[in-house]
Amino acid sequence: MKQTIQKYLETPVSIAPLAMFRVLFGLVMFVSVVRFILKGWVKEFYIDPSYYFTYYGFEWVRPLGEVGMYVLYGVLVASTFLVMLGLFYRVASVVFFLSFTYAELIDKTYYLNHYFFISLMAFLMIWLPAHRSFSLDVIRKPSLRVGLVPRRTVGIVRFQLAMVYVFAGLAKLNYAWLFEAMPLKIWLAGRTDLPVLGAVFDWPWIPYVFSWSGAIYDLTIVYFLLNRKTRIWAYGAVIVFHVLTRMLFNIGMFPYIMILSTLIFFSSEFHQTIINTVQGWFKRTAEQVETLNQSYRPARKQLAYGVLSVFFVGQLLLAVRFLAYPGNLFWTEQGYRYSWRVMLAEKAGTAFFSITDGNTGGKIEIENRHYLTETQEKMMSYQPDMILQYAHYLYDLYNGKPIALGNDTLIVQNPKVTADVFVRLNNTGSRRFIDPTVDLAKEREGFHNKSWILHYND
Amino acid sequence: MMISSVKTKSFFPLLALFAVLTTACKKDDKDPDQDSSFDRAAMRAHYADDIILPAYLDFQSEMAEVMISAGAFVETPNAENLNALRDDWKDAYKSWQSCSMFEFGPAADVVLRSTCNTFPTDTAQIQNNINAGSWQLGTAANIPAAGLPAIDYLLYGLAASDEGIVELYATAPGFQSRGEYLLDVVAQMNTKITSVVNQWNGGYATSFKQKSGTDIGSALSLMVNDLNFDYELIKNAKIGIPLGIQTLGIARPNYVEAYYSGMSKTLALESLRASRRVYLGQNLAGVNGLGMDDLLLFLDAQHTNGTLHSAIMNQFSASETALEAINDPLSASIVDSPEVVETAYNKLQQHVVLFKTDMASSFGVLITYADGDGD
Repeated sequence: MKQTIQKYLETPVSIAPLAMFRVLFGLVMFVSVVRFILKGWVKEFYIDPSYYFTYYGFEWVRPLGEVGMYVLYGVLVASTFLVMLGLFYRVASVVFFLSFTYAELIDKTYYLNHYFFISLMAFLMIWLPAHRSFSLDVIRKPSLRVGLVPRRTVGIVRFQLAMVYVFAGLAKLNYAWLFEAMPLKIWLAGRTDLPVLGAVFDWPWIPYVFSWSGAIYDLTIVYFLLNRKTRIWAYGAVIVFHVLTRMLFNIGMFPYIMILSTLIFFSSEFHQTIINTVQGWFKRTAEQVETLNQSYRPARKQLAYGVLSVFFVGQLLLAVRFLAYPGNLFWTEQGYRYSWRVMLAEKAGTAFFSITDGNTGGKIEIENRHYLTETQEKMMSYQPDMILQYAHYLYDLYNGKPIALGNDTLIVQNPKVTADVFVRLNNTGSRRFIDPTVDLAKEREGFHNKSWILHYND
Repeated sequence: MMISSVKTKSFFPLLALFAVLTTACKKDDKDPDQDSSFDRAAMRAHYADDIILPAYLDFQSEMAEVMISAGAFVETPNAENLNALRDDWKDAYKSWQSCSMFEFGPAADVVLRSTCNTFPTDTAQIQNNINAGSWQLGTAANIPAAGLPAIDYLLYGLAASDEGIVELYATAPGFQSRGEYLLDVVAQMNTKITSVVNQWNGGYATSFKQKSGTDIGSALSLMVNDLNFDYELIKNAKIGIPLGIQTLGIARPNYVEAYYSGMSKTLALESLRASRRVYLGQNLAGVNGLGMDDLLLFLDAQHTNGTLHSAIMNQFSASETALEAINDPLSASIVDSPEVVETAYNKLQQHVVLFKTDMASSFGVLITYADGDGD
């Protein structure tokens, strides 16, 4: 059995889909990074704020200052460009993975599932021979050129895409999504300005059509993409689905990433035709038959198997870790990130923080906008781990802080930090989110269950 | 067989969507809101034409009257002219409360809110300017030395008695400089509100009405964000900060709005009622039109026990009652009966949640002006 599987995975197949994937992934990442810089987000997200919501275990990932951040984004631009060209690919792919992931780890305010997806894909690319055809590396060093690669190298990219779709589909199988059409009912009602299409968004049954189509799409699309007979129709659905989400929601580059990535499901012939056409523009003749049959033989196959097994098992565990926590996942968000829950809840909150002097009992109410950007405040207000981090930050700021009052100065001592937070989930009224009596300064971060989060149904 | 039936089922809606989508991309010249069940375009037009612009026009005409009576008072400083000016100023200050929550577009361009209503006013800076005999309004240092709160000080706070105040504009040393300063502060606001009115008439109203949807920069997002921001100002600046809510409970009564005239409570109530009119889509005369309340009801937005709309209206009433229970002047009540003021503060705080979280979320509007991607 094991041998059969191994034989299947090692069967040589054309490198064309993989080489093409490298070009497209590099291209769309290059555009994403340039867009990010042009929108002014490097400054807005990583230079301007006075506080950053670090990830648990990655507190050492800090913003690099104005010059440093622009250098980092410069490195990202360069590495994505090199990945696309397939020039110094091995170095470029490692640099891209590290610099992209570093930037994402600076502040969880900007966490997006698709950034997580990019990090995962970038990591995978390090291990793939995607530069051994249709690249500048093979011109620079012709001995690199191969025509065949083990099936697993193409398959693993498809597998990664399948994980994203299937988990996203499974996540949609919940009562609110299917039977209340939440949160699409809320969001579509805000999009009635779309030409023609918008006119139907106030119709009561339309959100249900979208909810169900979305769930079915996510759950089945990989199957239909794999199947040769349905592939072309499935790809049409990919385009429609992602173009629609782009029109309806503010989700940046994600639709384009998926539309281009899913081309990996197409046949070798399809990709080879495109490659030949493009190479024709550059007056490069089609590859010699001998090189086409040259097969890639990895140096450290066992290592790659080991690393990638850990990689996928890790992803799987991250995606299902929510099962280990009590309560409503959408409410507590314990185990929410990295689980492919994409656009599944309309959630917002308001958080009032208080500092109480440990000696005098005097209270200071915090205006969050003095310490956080609007985006940070918005995200913090309904995510418990960020509420806790912010409380710790306030403790450090206020402990021993002199407060000027006219001619007097008072010093805050042993402050207690409490928060009264109200959160609205979908179309239920806002309710108290965490225990307002708990001194958050004394609560720890970590993976344990946070008892100070109130139950949704209380 | 099974596979093909699954296929048909899952692809039918997608293909239907594709068909709608392709037609959608072709005809985009049609009025986007015409066919929807809630006429959002009409709502935007109502806010622009019947609420926002009239509020600005009202403030503009009140300020024009202040300019005239201020000119008369500086020309002929006497008790009668002082009181006439004070009355006009009070009307203008009340009128301002209906403009404060529209700090976007032209108003944001000229920093209207900070210019007109930064308090507590910086009395030392005002005195420095007057003594120096020259000043440049609009600099960062002079923002808290101008606007309606500066006039509050200039008309009520300069001396203990009205005679003393008249004297300061009539014969006391520096009277000329003082009069000029008063006129300049009035003129600065007149210039700005006129500029805002002109820009609204000169095309901004049209573009505002076209800002459809709920994204950052849409008309609805601008209005909801600013209504909320302004409501937080009522809670924090008008009530909370003077009450000592940010200073370990130690009260700072002189931080109230309009401290010297003592009309703080009137202004807070005026502000609350103006917010309610905006929420309901009522004009200054109280005539109701398509407003945020109607949209919330259309969207069937819920709260714990009933509709979100009724929760918001109840909270408006509760806050209003709590503010009315405070004895005038607010600055004295903060010291004498802080618990009454704190009750009002708490009611306002609960209301902030309804605006900032429940209403914004029901509309699908983000409480931010900052751009970014979501997922």
